[in-house]
Amino acid sequence: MAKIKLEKLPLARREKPGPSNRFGAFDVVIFIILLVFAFSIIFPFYYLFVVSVTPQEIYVNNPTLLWTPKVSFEAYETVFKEPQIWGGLKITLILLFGGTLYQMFFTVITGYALSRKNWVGKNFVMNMILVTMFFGGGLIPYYELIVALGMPDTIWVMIIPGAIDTFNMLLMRNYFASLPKELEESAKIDGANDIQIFVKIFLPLSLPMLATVGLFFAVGNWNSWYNGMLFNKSQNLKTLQQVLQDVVYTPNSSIPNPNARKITTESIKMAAIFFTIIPMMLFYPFLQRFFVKGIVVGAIKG
Amino acid sequence: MEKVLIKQKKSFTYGFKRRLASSRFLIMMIIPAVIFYAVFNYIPMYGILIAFTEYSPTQGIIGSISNRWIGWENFDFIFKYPNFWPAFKNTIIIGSVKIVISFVSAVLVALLINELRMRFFKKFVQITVTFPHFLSWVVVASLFLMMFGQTSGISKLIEQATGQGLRFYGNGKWFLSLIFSADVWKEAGWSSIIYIATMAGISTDLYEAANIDGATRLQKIWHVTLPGIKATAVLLLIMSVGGVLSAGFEQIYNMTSRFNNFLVVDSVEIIDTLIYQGTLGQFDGLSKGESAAIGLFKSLIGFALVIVTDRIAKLCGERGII
Amino acid sequence: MRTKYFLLLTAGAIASLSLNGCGAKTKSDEYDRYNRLKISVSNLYFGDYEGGDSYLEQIQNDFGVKFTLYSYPWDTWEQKVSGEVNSRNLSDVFHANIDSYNFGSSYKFWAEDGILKPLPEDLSRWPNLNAMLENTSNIDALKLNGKLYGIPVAKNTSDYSCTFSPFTYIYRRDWAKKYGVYQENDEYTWTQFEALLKAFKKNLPSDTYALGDVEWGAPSITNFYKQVPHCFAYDEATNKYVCNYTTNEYIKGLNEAKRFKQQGYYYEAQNEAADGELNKLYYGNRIGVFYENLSYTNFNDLRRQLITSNTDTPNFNIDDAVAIMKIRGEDGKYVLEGTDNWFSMTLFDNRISNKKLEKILDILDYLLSEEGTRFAIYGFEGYDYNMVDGKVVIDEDYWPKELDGEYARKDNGGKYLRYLATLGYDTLSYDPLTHKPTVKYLENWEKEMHEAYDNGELKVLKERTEVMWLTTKWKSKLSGGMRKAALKNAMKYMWSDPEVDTISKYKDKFGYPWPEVLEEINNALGK
Repeated sequence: MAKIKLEKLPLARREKPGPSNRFGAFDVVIFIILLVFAFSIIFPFYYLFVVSVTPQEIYVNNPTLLWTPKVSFEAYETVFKEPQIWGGLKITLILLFGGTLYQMFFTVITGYALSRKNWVGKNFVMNMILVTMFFGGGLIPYYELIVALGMPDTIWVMIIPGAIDTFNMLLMRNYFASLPKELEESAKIDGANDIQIFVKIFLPLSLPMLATVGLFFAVGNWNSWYNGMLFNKSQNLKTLQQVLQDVVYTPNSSIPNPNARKITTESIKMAAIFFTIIPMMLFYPFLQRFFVKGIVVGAIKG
Repeated sequence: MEKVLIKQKKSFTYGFKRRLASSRFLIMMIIPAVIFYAVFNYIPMYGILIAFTEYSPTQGIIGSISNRWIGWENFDFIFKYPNFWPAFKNTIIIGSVKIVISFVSAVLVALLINELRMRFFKKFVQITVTFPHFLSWVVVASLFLMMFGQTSGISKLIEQATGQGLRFYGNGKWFLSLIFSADVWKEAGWSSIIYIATMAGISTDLYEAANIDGATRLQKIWHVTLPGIKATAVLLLIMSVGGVLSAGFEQIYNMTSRFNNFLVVDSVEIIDTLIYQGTLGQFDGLSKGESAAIGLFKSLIGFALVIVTDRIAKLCGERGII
Repeated sequence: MRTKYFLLLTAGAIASLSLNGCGAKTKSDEYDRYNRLKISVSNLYFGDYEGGDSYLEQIQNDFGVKFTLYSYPWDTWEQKVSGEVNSRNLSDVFHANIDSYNFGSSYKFWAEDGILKPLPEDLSRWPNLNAMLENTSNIDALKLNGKLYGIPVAKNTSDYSCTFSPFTYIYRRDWAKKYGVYQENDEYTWTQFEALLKAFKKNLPSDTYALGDVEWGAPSITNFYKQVPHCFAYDEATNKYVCNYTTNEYIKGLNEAKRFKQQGYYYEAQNEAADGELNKLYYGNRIGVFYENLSYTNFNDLRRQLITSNTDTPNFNIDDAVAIMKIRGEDGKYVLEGTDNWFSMTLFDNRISNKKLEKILDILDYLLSEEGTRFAIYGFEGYDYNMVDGKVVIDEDYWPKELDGEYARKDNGGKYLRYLATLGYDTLSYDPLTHKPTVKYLENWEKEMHEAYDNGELKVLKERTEVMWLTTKWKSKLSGGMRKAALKNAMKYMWSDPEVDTISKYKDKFGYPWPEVLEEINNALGK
């Protein structure tokens, strides 16, 4: 397949406007369809915000408001006062930075090694990895393993088992493989070994791809909850998403706890959701191109 | 001639040693990965054998395998289990409809964005439609419940306008449509990126030739753009066939867990939710051994599907995936 | 490809070598630096409580223990317990849902498999605890070979002759008065009940409904006819267990419910109602009569929600908006669902030492004593409260208040540890943290119902104990699903779904696996 240089990756066809390419009814139709689609994606967030600032007494009587006659930030106050939310944020930030760095390290070196040709054992390792994409042992042995490693109820359980993500690793491999071979060959002639070549030549060349993979990991860590849910008992190890689940999944009826005095209103739930997605909404428009480049290189070459 | 032959014979072991020596740094780099996959993916694989035991937590997996081996009994049971075949059917339906819908929607979005002329709006649309991919299903499920839930949002508006409410969360068929639209909402934009990139790679000569022939834009889409993405589309479609039995556990789990509504369970219970309830539920449904048996059954069928599609792809002259 | 198969086969070998050693047979006692015995406890009711208060510290020092407290999340409680049991990653004391209907077989399986540590057979050392256990309904069903493998978490410690769930009707007394159908003392006969529904239907706006059932309780009208709450009814004539949902009584009730539907009393989307939908409607002032689980928490919750949603309503009287309705069926009897007075259990990991178990029992026994209960509810004597003439007087300086004038939550480890044995319904009436008038109102109702039972005016729906706790293979696996499917068909019949619009079509829905499971039950019980 054709080599695609990342920097010059064309993401849109550029055509000179010719006579048949004048802006016409066809363009209007496309514009409208896409506008509707984009609207359908933005609207829920808008509605989410509206519900989160609507006082409960107004919401229960009329849940279909497009705007609320009385804006109240009480729900946000409740959410900000909740120590669990900040505890969750702390854990999630640790995962976001520590976890991402750790995962990047292992994923990138593995991707690099597998992108090189003709070394002893490469096929073995490659097959070893492919098998895991089809077969797994299931949850119970995984649980036993984590217990045997002494990891339950620690923050490590949310970091260590995620060392290598096969998809991201293949992305990195494909990218390294697409870089010109001559770089490696000339460095070898100069007497550099593989690790030196990797660190001094390939890493600096692949910064945009590293950013992409790093961002994929970061998003994954921001959204992480599964291992924490399975293995951790302590409140102070809950990730932001787990705290969010606790808030959102509070059943509307039948909690048997006689001491439950809190009422989780719809607006508090929505405020909690808004709190967890607002950082992504703020950063995403600026980072979007990295994500896009990553998926394009990965899929075309993979 | 003789000399050459001898040299070749000698060079086999000699060459291997040399290759080993020259790959030592790469091998060093791969060791962590080998350890990682061995520990976290291969060690747990012996758990497959739970499917042939009556699992006992006090004896652990090894103990259960040696003391409580019951052969194919769990398999006999699951094929008689009244929820199994409906769940299997649902999995196939949901899985394949999802493949088709997400494929069509991705291509459609890609075509539209590709044809869009306004630069700024195009950027805006691309950023908007790819964003939901990065939200967790917890968030997406909550958004959908808020929008389409019975007492709020859209269904209430529809009820006010037409006098008849649409019960998205109370009716299996409507709920299925909600599952599919949530999938499109979340993933269509993201999956379209790859097609947009492929379309951008189509040679402009083809379009210019079409211009000279006086083709309309629809004709150009039909005769130039679509054939241009055919190879990519087929490849991606084949790759997705293997996942037909994983009809999206995380989505269904999150979209159904906020209401214990038994009205829709029949239409969205899939193999993975059965396995989940069996492995992590208490003892009210399947036992651990039986859910492991279902898991093994699913893995085997999934693996067979991948092999078959791969062979078909190769027969059709496409690049395989194995 | 061959490498892959090779890898698969070797996986087992690697695994057996590496993991054979794990899963120790016993847990050794560990002590912290003050020589206090370490005990870990997981419980659903801890919520976000994690200890750290002086009350817990006091208990720890008095008993020489050091607690590590974990809480199970409500939505994944069963999953957590199940995962921990299967990997034996359990806390010393844990807490599981042992509802007879769905989870009774878990308890039996775990006890037989050696996961759980039984209580000592002689409990006389712990008189308060023992008294509570003896008061627990159906405790014999939990004994295996004479041993009790845990403590059922009691909802109350009342000594009445029957126990029932507070699943009943509340209604808008204010509306009933407005439309002239109010009956003295909220007592309604079957005809008066229907008259009320009729008046509501006639006078209320079209998006407000006369009758609604909480989604898991529908169709509640059948309660007035059927014999047992769920699947397995006992047929005296043939001396066998039969399917409850096809008995003549049930079908009579179902037809009555269908008539109510056709008269337009029922919430029109009752058949498709989602979790919490009816509650929302009720506090949105859109339901006249509502069938719900009226435990203190739920009842108080409804009250508070209704107050918030009616802040702008003039002359709104909350007591008139959530009045309990006492309805007599056609046979002149009230009806309530029978229950055990507990549904979850505090269990002990079998690997802990006897010493540790005894420590825990000591603490629970203390907390159930009179002095311990005061400690759990009020705190330290002379600090949080004083005894004046044998009565408790709260020291207001040490009790924080919320804006609405009620006491704010006060973390007291004693109270939370007490949840290991009882849910605290026994202390609701004097706990400063509960809303007294609500508690009193519910307790009065409960008392009235007990009196009605003694006079033979209350029908309690209850499955026979022998079948309730029977754990045969198919029954354990299927009865939960069978019950859901049956209710679904009942609702379909009421809404005249073309699939189930006649009684014979409805009865046809009870084919496989019903006959098989019933046969299994009858065989197991020797019928």
